[in-house]
Amino acid sequence: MQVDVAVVGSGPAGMAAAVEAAEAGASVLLLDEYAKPGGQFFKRSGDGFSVAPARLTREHQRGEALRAKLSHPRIRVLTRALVWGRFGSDLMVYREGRSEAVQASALVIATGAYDRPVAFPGWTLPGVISAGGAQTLAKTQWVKPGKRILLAGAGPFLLPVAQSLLRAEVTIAALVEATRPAQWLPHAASLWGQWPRFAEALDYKRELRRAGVPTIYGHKIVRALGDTEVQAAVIAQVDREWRAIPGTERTIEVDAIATGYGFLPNVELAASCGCDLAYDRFARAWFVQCAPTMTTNVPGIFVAGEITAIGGSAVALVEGGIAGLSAAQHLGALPAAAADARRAPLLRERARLNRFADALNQLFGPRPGLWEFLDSETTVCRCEEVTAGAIAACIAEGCTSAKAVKDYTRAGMGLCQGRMCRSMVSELIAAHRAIDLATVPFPHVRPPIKPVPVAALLQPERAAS
Amino acid sequence: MPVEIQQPATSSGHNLRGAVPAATTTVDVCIIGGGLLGATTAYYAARAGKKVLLLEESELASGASGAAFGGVSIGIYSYSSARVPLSYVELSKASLALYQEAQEEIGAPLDLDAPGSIDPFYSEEGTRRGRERAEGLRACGVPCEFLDYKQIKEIEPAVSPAAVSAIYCPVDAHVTPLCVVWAFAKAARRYGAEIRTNVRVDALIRRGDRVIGVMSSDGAIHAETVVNTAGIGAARLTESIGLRVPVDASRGQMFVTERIPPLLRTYVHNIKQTPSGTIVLGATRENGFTETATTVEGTREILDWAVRLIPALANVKLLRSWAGIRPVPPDGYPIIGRPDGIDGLLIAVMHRGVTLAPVVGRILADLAINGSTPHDIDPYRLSRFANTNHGEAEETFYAG
Amino acid sequence: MRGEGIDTLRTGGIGRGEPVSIFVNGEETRAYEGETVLAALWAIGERALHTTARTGEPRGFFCGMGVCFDCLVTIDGAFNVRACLEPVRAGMKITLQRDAGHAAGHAHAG
Repeated sequence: MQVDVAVVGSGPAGMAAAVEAAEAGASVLLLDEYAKPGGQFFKRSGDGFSVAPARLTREHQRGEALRAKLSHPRIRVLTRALVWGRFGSDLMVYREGRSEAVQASALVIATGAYDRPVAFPGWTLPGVISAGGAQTLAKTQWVKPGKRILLAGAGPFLLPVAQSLLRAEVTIAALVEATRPAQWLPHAASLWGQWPRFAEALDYKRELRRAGVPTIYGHKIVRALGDTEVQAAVIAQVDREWRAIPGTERTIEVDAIATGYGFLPNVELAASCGCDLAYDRFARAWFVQCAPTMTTNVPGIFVAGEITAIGGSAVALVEGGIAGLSAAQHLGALPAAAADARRAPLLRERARLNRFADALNQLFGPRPGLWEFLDSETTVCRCEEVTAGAIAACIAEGCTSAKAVKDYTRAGMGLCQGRMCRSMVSELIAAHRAIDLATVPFPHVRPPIKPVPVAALLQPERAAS
Repeated sequence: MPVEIQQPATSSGHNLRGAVPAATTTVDVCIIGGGLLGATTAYYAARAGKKVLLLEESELASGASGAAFGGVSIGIYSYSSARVPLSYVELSKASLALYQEAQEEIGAPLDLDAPGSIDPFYSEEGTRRGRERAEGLRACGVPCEFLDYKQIKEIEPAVSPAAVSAIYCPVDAHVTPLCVVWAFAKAARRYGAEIRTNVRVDALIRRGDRVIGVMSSDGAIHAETVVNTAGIGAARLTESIGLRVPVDASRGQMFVTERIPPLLRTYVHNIKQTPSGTIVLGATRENGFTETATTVEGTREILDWAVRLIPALANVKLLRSWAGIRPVPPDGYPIIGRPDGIDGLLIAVMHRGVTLAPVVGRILADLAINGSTPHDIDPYRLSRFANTNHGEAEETFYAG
Repeated sequence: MRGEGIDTLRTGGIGRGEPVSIFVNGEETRAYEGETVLAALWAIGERALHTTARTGEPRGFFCGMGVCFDCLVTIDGAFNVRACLEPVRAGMKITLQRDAGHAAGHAHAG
């Protein structure tokens, strides 16, 4: 299959890129591994659900409006299409049981992010889930993650999650926020001019108050209790580095715990294509390096959205637009002057939004105390059941890289391909070797970047038989 | 017991050892390369009481040793354009015995499993060649049987009728090479060996007709014996003293799947099921490639053929791919021993390092300690390449 | 059948797709077109979706979006299927994976 621009990921960034590129005259293929476009920000229920408008949120309208634009004649949308690797100029897509190569003159990677997994004793119990997972179950399936849930994390993402839970009739025992409002004041200047964000936050808080949900500041989750499923959560007060203060533990009875301590970007596809990554100190994660025009070090590959920095849907939309324009310019569909003119307001908006996003990352980005309870028994690699103790032991034996830890302990060799444990393994390496986390490189990525059935990788003639 | 997590220091990130180069160190045996050969040599030398230092430029098993399939086979897979010396079969047998001994002695898991190997043939012509081969193997003392499809299916129900016939070698084994390297390295440390990773060896130090040590990023190391087991990098090092070691590169792409319920008992050519339940497949043979990239062609070559042989693999999910560069001497056979005219240096470079690592490590340790070994290693001397013109190695086997 | 007329974790007052029958460990169970297998199982309190290969620990789901591979179930004979991504289909046979006989893995992993 040949196309001008291939866009991988149909969240706000991918959708915006597809629309801009198509409007500039390019043929666009928009690929997403999920069943429907929208990504995480604009996730919605499957067909068959009918939900009263009062239960739906602002995102729903925004998502629908953007999805409607995908009907542009030059955009072809392929869902349930998994991009598992790129070899030379061939983008390999697995769909309907087989693989095919897509050739595109420009590639926009907008693969988004996922909830940062944070390990603590008991976190593998059924019922302990990520904040995003809790929101997905509540908002798209209208199933409660539990009758009574504890929501623990840091930052404004917890608010829309709480709203989704409340609208799904879940009782929230408490919202446990690691920071304290007093810590937000020094950043007041950067937050100036972001009134719509504040208004949103106040709306959420009002809904929480009306539902009688207490917010507990300056605390974090330290343990989940239960034998075959979660039955209670233990929280503790924390200092500025999110280290638990001894003697402050409190047990709260719940049948679900949702943790929201930030996000990790899905940089694997970009990395496997040769894109350089850069380490972000506040988000404590590796992102794809890009110029303001969303170009990467690889000619013809552009990026947008959460894989460039955690910024939220507003930035993702703007970056997607920029990437779409840059892609169109790259293949000659848009002359440089026109591209510059159309990009200019988007670049300004991005700079403005990034000031806010940066402040949020500084305020709510994960602090080292989050990993203090990686004790010998706590599972770090969920897939292969590797404990923090086993990882610490192999670092003591001389393993200096995530790859060596993986080879030695199998941490990262499971089905999730290291997505759950990789960041924590890096934290353990940095802590035990007393080195800067920025010097623990992101491991080398090779295809398949997601698990793909063997049959899908065969020569087409063989796959058919 | 909680693990103590300290605040990371804001250092430049160099490994603490490398940040401050040591003063000149003197040891009995300095081993270059932390792969299979380096680890086994370190173990046997340290166990014999020698002061051993192993230097590895990256992490242990980061070269071909970490990428290998892990087959430990007695002579079925030979790589030669000439007749196979019986000594090669003897070495392989001795190595398998050492693996079993090591498993008990070392007490660390090698993932050693000896269920036998099945080497299939897919046509009448292949069957004819295979039958000859089986006879040749038996003449060399390799226990093996020639099976038809019905018999293959009794041992491995998952194999399809594409396998018309096969050589079954019931004593063949497989290991997880990474585990082997780590286990031997750990055991070597217990006997007092020092292993330094992230240390680069830049050159050998030669004084007259003797190699007296190495120059490394940790400073100068003086050693009674320097052992070059640097794999694909071995040739570069010896060039620094004017000695040519011919080594060709052959890339092998490898693949591994998710865990599945037990499917395979033996290893069928290059497909095996590990103790973890995953299926390991590979490898390609791409001569001259030195980049450890995996390709669509390589993926299809290995998987197409695997699904033809074991149809149940079609619905299993592939999780990872990787590639290793085999260091292959021009005639396919190992280079082992002291190069003519130079003292203080031992070299070992080979393809099929997995099979031979324990015995070669033992040989190198013996040579370092008292200059001799009970094994016949004359066929593997470096000087055999001096004046001969060897064609490209072929995958054939002839009995001696 | 299972999941009917009992207090499930499904939110009230929501219009759902056509009711369908699925089979969970052989038992006929109520589900609704348009929802995922995860939703159908979670709603009836079936939260230990699989037990792990080495220690037999029960697992539910973690990320809910197909990244963590914890929500693994066997569907119509295909194993290790992510329940959070799979839409229910009438007549679907779901088996909760329990100790599928996978081997222990090498002991370095501790």
